[in-house]
Amino acid sequence: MTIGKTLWLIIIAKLFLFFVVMKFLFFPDILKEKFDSDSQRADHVRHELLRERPSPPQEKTVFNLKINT
Amino acid sequence: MDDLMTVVDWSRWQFALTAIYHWLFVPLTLGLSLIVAVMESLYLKTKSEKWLAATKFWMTLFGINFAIGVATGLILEFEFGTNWSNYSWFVGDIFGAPLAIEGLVAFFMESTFVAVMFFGWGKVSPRFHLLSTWLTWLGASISALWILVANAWMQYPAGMVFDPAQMRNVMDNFWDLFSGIAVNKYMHSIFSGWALSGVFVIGVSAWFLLKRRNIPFAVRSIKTGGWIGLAGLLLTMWTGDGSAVEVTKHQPMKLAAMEGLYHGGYSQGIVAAGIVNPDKTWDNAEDEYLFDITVPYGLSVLAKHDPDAFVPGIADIVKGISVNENGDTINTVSYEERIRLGKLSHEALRAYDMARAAHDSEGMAKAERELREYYPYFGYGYFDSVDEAIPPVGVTFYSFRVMVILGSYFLLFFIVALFAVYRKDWLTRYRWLQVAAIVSVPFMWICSEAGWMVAEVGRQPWTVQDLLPTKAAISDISSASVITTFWLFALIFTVLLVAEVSIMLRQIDKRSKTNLETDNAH
Repeated sequence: MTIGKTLWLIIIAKLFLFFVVMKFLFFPDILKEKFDSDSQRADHVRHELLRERPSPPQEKTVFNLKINT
Repeated sequence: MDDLMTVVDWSRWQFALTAIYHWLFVPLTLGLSLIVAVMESLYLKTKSEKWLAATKFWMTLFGINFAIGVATGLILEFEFGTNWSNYSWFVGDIFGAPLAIEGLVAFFMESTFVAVMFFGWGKVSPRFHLLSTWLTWLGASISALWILVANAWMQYPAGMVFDPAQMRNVMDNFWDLFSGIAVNKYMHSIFSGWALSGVFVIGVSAWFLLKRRNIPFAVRSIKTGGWIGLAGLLLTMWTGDGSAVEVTKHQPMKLAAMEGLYHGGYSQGIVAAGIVNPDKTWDNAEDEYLFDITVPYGLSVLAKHDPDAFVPGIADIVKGISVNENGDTINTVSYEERIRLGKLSHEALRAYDMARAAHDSEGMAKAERELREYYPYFGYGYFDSVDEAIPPVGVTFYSFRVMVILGSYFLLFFIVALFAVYRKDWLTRYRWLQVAAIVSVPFMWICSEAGWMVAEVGRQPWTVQDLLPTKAAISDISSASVITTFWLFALIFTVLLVAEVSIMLRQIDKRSKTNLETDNAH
């Protein structure tokens, strides 16, 4: 198989995987799917942003080098 | 609580994974397109088949990288809609504009001219073909511009007004997106792509020398890649210096984390090499470093171009001692006060919401006035303690040193490579030089990725500086789906990377056995 054909195959397989499999099965646009209007979306985000959120326990965060010390 | 933090952490890991993999492909596209365009220009100027053969060889490698890397960045946009929907809504009006321009203009421009570049040989005039090659480079560079402008806006949000009714920030000045942070970040990233591609070209060419194949072609390529890479690296260093000054003005906490500096001062030295003390916190008396080699005045010079300047540390910033946009030392709002004001902004938003539901326009106006007053601290309202507002010091500190140390190594690398290539006997005689050039190639990617680690880990805990921490930006989704897609992406991207490397190696080996002094090889 020529290099050109190999690359075209990779591109097509990749785009299929990204746009058909990943996007549809795993990556829904949550606000678009759950709500019909922008005002509903705004209300949802308002509720989300104003609800109580727990603080991360510093020693457990995976981005901190100091883990469980 | 654990589930929320699991979702936040896994989403961050997933975003980091996809961004890191995406950035494996991008800088090579940015720089190799330039090197190919320069070689093709030399072909048109000299009419030499040698330059045509060189152009086509490197264009093939560019094509492999482009084909495998293309669209990997779109995954990040999927993640915005699924994992980071609060963020997407909250700042979508601003963040969406540059991304839309990138998709509509730059990406299509790049893709169109890539097609002419690859399939247009003999079908369009040589001049139009050359123009297409340059426009491919320009399209890739403009594409990067919009992405980096969007990223820079998250580090220094400006040019917007918060609309509590829509619950989103609305753009009121497009040109504010082009802040000093954005300009420096863009140039720093673009030029680092030139440097990375220069290292790649030299490394591949060194393999030709090692195998004693197409030596004149390899020498020609090292000269072209070497000069472009050296220029790119020097410009990367210059814009990196500009970035440090901008970070000092707008993200002093990030600068302090980069340096592992808790207690700042005047004439502040910079740690050339060291180990940060993991037990050090902003409010204890532990030493900052377990070991350090410090260059006197270095940080003051880096941050403000003044050896005597004051540079605040983490504890200083927490207490409210910082620098303003002009770089002057100021007493500003302490982090405890910011948290209090942030919570007041949340209260004002709640009051606005209740007044709106009751159709109380006077109440709405009063609440909106209060919200505007406290809005600059909106994001701090999500924290319960100042500890949450401090970035991970260790990762930021070490990433910064990896970037700087490797960057300095590659300055030496280009100088030695160019010196050696203009003394041809050096290159052919000393195999260790050839091996060193080949082995250096992956380290340039590590250097480049480390730069992004500094930029992105150092700005934690924010997705949007001062306005939205990562824990508030996340969607209300289950951690199981994020964990599943994390491993799925890890698998897909690894397969793509293995494919890229193996196809490239096969092509390099195959082409190296042909005569790359004439166009007949293609």
